Amino acid sequence: MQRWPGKVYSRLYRPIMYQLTKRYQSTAAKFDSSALPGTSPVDNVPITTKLEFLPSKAKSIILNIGLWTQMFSDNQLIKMYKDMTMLETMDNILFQSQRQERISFYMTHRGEEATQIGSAAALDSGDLVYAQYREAGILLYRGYKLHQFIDQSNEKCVVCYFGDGATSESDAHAAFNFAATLEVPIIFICRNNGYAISTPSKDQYHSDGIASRGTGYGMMAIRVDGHDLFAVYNANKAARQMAVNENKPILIEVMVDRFGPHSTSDDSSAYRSEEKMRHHAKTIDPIERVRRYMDVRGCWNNEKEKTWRKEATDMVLKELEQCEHIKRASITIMFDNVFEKVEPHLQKQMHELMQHVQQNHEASFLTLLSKYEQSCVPDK
Amino acid sequence: MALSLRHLILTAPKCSSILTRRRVAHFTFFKDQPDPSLGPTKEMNLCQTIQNAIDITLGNDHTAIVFGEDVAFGGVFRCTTELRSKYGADRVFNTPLCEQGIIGFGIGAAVAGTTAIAEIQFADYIFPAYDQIVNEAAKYRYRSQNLFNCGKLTIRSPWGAVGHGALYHSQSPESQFMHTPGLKVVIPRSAIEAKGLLLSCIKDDNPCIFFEPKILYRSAKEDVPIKEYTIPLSKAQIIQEGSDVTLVSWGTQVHVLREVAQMAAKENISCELIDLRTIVPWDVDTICQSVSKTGRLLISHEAPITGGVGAEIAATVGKECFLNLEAPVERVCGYDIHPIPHVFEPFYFPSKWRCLEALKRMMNF
Repeated sequence: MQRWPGKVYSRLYRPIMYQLTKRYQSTAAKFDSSALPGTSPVDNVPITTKLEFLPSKAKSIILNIGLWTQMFSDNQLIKMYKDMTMLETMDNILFQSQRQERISFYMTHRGEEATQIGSAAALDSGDLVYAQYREAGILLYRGYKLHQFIDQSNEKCVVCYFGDGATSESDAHAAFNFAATLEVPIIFICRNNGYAISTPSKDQYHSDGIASRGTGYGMMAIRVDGHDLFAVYNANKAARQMAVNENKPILIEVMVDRFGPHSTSDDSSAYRSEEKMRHHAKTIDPIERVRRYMDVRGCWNNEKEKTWRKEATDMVLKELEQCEHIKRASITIMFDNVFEKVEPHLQKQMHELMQHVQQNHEASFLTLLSKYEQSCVPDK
Repeated sequence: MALSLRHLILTAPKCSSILTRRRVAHFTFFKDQPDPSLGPTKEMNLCQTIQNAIDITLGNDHTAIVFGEDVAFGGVFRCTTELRSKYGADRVFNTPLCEQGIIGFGIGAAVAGTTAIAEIQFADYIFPAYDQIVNEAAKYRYRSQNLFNCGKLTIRSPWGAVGHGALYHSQSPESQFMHTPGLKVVIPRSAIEAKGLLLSCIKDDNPCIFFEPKILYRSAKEDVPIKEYTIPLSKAQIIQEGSDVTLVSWGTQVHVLREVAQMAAKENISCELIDLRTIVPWDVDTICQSVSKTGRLLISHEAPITGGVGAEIAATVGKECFLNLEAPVERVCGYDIHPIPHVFEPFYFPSKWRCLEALKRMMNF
């Protein structure tokens, strides 16, 4: 290409470029989504001539802590504290009892108490809760009332708990998308404790946690300090209001630490430093934080603490002892509730099993049988 | 290169006639007669009848909802036409393209007390929802020991060979759900049957899967009673009595066997034809009583033979009717290849010829 003299080049450059880009803009069709049948209502999409990708990670979503918009009464505070400490007591005793082979399996909640009690306290008693497995605190808070069915009125919402690992399953994607498109009053609570058994969150996702997914589905999201009872409570309260009044889903990502192992089948020292976790736990223990607040407020003291802790321990130990003496349910129950009624083929199979059981008099079999309630088989 | 219309018209006579001629259906549809006690009837085909059944449900049950892909405008098979304008967008609506979500959502709605009718656009697409069906829906009542249940969930899905469906619009996956305790699976053979069976599924307090033979949507035209009626689940129907051999099938294949029975009658073989209707829990007594009488059993289904529903029936009959059997149980089914390769459908199919051959084998055993 012939080299233009510098002056001519610079004088011509700008007008030429202006003309070129002007023409480009004027012939570029304006994207009018309303002109196309069946397109999604993403109106007023700005257009650009620049090739530019959105960043894979936007600015990190802020962690919300210590939102003090709610003043609790002493009684409310004490109930929440008692539920948190009862959960801790249950955890300690039942974890040990699994090691003693008195129960078969247990999962502790250490570190996540504020998440569970704070969120449960922010809900209506009629809201339907779908829990994963680390939410016994919710049941505790509700006094074990499992028979509450959802009220058909419009003022209830649904709450669904799950961990960081669960968000990788396509169920989570389906649930978020459906909740958003069908405008469901549901609160999704992700307990992000940094581990899915041994898998750390860096192997689980490369996004900015789970809260960042909210925009991907057109859903509002918030990130909360899960060790802070009041932050969790207030975030849930606000989310519930929006969900119920505006018929839309809200995503709450609760950042917590799982002080203990995944379950009694897990030895977490195999993949993380127990000493580090113990040290860390001391500094951020959610129960200690509430305790200190209650001390300062004057509604709790050492004396009350000692009495309550003893009471809680006694309650759990008593229940454990009583439950150990209860026999397992009768074998025939195995055939119940597969269908609404016990269908003919299951009746037949149940009779076959009971015949087999009655005919077997071998010693070890009888020992096994003695652990179960006597079966009462209705006549064919 | 774009083909012009002129080019297409000119080359048409040169094309292989077998490949381009519209496939003729592999069966003849035998009409059922309506039960006169059910009152006035209207001529309806299968998809109109399904629409009618859903219409009745939405009208009587204020909690009932219908949802799935493309359900709002009427559905790709027109089974939900006019329902949205009649009952509103809150009750008849589209979902995102996600079968796992459709069923997951349906389970949740049913648990909360809604009569949920979920549509899976083709039975071939039901597999992303398999986990939800097997591990959630089927187990809901059991694992909560009746604290919760999703009995109000009904899943309906177009099913079976259609002549040109190939691998992903032809499947009959009923055996994959028969193997899961807690589910009911129902397949009608005609419009009259479909209405009664679908209404029974909806009313039944267990999660039900209702497979609709898509090839019958237009061709199954009958005088269907207008009023609401139900046909009991887990009750097989003896369509035709006979003494020499028992023929068992469901869905479209029942019509193939009807023709086989006619052909056999010309050779003085008396066939007892049974429509199983409910795949699981299935009517063991009716089948076994029939085989005890005839001594011979032929089971025929579109799905591949290995591990199909026929295998379960054959094993049970083999045990219960062993001493009554005159010949081994025959199963005439699809081959163990992926159902159904497009150009080979006529050969894949358990045709009337293959069925007749198997029948004669049993008679001459």
